[in-house]
Amino acid sequence: MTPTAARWPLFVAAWTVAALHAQVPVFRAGVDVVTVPVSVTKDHQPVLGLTAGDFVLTDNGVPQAVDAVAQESLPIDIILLLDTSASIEGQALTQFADAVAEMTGGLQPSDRIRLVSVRGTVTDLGGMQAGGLRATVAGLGAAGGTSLYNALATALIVAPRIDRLQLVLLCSDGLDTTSFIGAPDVGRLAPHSAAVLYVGLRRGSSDSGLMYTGGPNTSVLRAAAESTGGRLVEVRGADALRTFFTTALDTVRTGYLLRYAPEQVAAHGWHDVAVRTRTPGLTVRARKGYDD
Amino acid sequence: MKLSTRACVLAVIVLPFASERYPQAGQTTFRSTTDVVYVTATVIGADGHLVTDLTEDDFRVRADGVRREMTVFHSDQIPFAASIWFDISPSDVGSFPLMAGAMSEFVRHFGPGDRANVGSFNGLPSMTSRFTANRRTLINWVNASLGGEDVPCFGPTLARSAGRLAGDWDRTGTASWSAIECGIKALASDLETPRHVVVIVTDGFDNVSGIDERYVERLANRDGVMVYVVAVPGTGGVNRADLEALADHTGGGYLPIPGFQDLESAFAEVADELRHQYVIGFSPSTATTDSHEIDVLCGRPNVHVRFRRAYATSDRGTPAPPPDMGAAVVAQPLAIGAPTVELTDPAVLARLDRYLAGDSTMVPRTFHSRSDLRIALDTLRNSAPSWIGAASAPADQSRRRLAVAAYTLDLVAAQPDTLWVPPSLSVSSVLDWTRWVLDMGPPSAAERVWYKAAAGLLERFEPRAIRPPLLHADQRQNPVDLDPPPLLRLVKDGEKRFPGDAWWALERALEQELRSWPDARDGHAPEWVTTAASAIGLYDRAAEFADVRAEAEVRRAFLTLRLARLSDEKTHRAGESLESRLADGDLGEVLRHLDAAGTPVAPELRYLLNLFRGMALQRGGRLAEAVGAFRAAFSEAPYAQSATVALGTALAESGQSGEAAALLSRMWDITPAPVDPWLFYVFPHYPHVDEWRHQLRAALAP
Repeated sequence: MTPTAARWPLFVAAWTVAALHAQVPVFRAGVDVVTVPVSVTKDHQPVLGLTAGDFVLTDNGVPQAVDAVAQESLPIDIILLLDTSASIEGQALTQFADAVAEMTGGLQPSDRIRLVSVRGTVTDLGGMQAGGLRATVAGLGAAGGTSLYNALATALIVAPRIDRLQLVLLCSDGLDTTSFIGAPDVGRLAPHSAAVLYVGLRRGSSDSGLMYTGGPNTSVLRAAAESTGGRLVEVRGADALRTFFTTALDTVRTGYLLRYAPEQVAAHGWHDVAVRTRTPGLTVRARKGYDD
Repeated sequence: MKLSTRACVLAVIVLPFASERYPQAGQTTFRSTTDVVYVTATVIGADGHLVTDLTEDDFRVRADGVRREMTVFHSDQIPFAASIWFDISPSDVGSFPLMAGAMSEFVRHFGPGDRANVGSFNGLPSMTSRFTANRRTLINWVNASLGGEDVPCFGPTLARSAGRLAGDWDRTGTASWSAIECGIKALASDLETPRHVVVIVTDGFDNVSGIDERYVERLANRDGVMVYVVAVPGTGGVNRADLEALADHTGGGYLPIPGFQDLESAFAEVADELRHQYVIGFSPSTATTDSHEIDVLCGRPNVHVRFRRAYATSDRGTPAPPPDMGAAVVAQPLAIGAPTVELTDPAVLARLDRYLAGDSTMVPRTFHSRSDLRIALDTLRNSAPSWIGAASAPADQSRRRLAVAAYTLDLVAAQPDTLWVPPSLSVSSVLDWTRWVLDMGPPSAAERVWYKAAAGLLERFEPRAIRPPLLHADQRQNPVDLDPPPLLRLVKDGEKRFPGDAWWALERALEQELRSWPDARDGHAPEWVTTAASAIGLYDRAAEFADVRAEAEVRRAFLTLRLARLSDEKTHRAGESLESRLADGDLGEVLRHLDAAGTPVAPELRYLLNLFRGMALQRGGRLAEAVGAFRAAFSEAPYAQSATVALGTALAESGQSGEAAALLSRMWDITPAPVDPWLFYVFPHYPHVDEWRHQLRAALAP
């Protein structure tokens, strides 16, 4: 099985649904429209004020005409995967809890967040919740194995293709001990997800139990995140975790949503997408492609 | 040979002194109402040699960040008292003359006022009762100490009680921390010599002390004792990191040497260093904390100054023992050969009586400190033999043995994971002892259940014990010296107790496979491949028994799948490809063994069979068939997460993303999550421990 052999109709969105919120821009299209979240930075600072004319996007090497809108005006759906396994305990868990409470409290009311506890079993802690409320996860404790890849695969698949930005945040030491699927499965899934994946990797024990030594599989996790237009960030300490949350959200909010109706490219199969700016010296992060 | 990475070592000593000037050797008036912090420094230049010509102006001292005026400075030779300790636990007698020779060399460097005593240790430290400067006496003491003729120091709880029961813990153990503690306390009683130092020679890994390096460090810090460690390679390695940290934190030194033949030169180096140090005194920080940061600067260029960053005030009494120190025990010296009558607690006997009588309210306590747990275990160990022996009929004795074994399992299971700190306090050692109790009588059907539950507790509390230990290079060349992992010991004992039982055939294969974990999904452990591959033959053998054939075939098939995945992982890590199909031969072998398993009676085994079949087919590129297999697994345990995620992933890959998203969303909605047989597979015994413990108690019913 190869990516090109499989059909992944996940990323082609027919934007026929009216905006869910009055402040959300309305996109309508009579044909399939591809949307690509993009972040643009210079010296690690977001570059604001760009327009469609500033971007060059190719689909399978063919330049496309794009529209661009600042993502700042779009609400965000977040799936926060919180590693609460035995390898994340004590101070680390407290730091997680504090940073999560601060981050969720800082969301907009139009945003939504789903908190998911990752142990040997992956547990949704209460479904999608409105943003702006400080989430309490301090009472979770920490125990058991870590089905990290199960959690990641699930989050990447369930992220819906609607007119809200989809963001998956993973906070973990990256040590999977009990998933049935493996890192390569996550690596294959990620490019086809509707979500942008940010991985906050906290260095923890290198030998966490029966099932595991070595790792984390940083290279696969990083590749998975970058294939969605996100990033892997190594976090150390409470401030670093807060910074990770802030960076992920700011990057998404200060980014742009490019959209286009593919022209002069094959209708089916995997499409490589490349985005750059006409202004040199800027760093552009965007997903690497989609399935039609 | 040089002191390990050490250039300038300052030991912080807090001692009350009578005057600002250092007392001369022979004076006994060291105590005073005026506190002075003394720092002993060793300075080494860029050429690696000791720097001996520094003056007071070359140093600056800060305490808690504030510069302190130096009130005392000595560059002349200050007398010291040394407590010299030799590890004789794993050593052969051939090294004893070398130890005596090293002692002789050490004494040769003595200056006026220098003195020493001598100790040796295995599981039980012993030492001479006083200090002397007489060379002949010290040599005699070394020979006497190595010959076991000196006075036992107070020993750790575990070593003493286990020694009484098993008879050889004091001979085979290594109590490094207890030995250093003995030396520190002996030095504390010496009021005649200005400086104190412990020198320990060890080639072992502490496995019996009821204290740890942190406690020893605090003790040394309070009493101003420097610790020098001479480390000799041994079969089990040494506590290098901890010993090196202790030496560093106390201002001493860590000297690794290749063998005992270099012990003499190591002792010469230590003695030479002790004769060429600087002593700096300053008034203590006014901060009210118990611990104070200290900073020493050396103005001479091209010398490296290392120093201890903190000191503890001494007037807060003895540091609290660490939580894992055996409490009730350490006050009195232990006479070797004392009768085993202590620690027999009537309360324990009463608890065992109630347990045997089927009192369901009698459950072992959960402890919150290692010392309490250790005392409870020691008491049980000492009480159980007499309690068993109190029954006259053999059948009653057998029942009591089983009761002790079951009670011990309950006791272990009731404790938090954090209390177990192998090797000093380990589940495996408790289980070893319990098997010794069971071995005294004939096997019973209930005992078989005990073995299974014991394996589960090892998985839970001591997963690392399942694997073989990490080996040093020299150990890899001679692996026969290593003890088998605890799970293998348990399995082997079980086979002896129940020969011909099919379960053990499966268990041997399983033990071998568990040692091959972790799954190679993220690891870099090619050595595990060999271990995993060797389990295949054991599974083939187990499959010859009809009772366990289905499980043996399923496990063998998945092991083959795991081994085939290794090449994929390797390829993936190299960034060459995200994909790799299972070779036709591998796929055929996996499917053949899954077919050979038939249709297992147990639903969890059917679940696993289909789960593994799905993975094999998926990796073989037969995606539609894989989806079918995953659906079959799903039907055996709906929404169990392993099959649901596998099915969702396969659906997404086959273009059925809507069904995949719906399936996985529904999975997250189900709380609590259904029992997942895959987690039983990962930890094959642990999930059943409670059930087996209940079976054991039922078997004890009158």
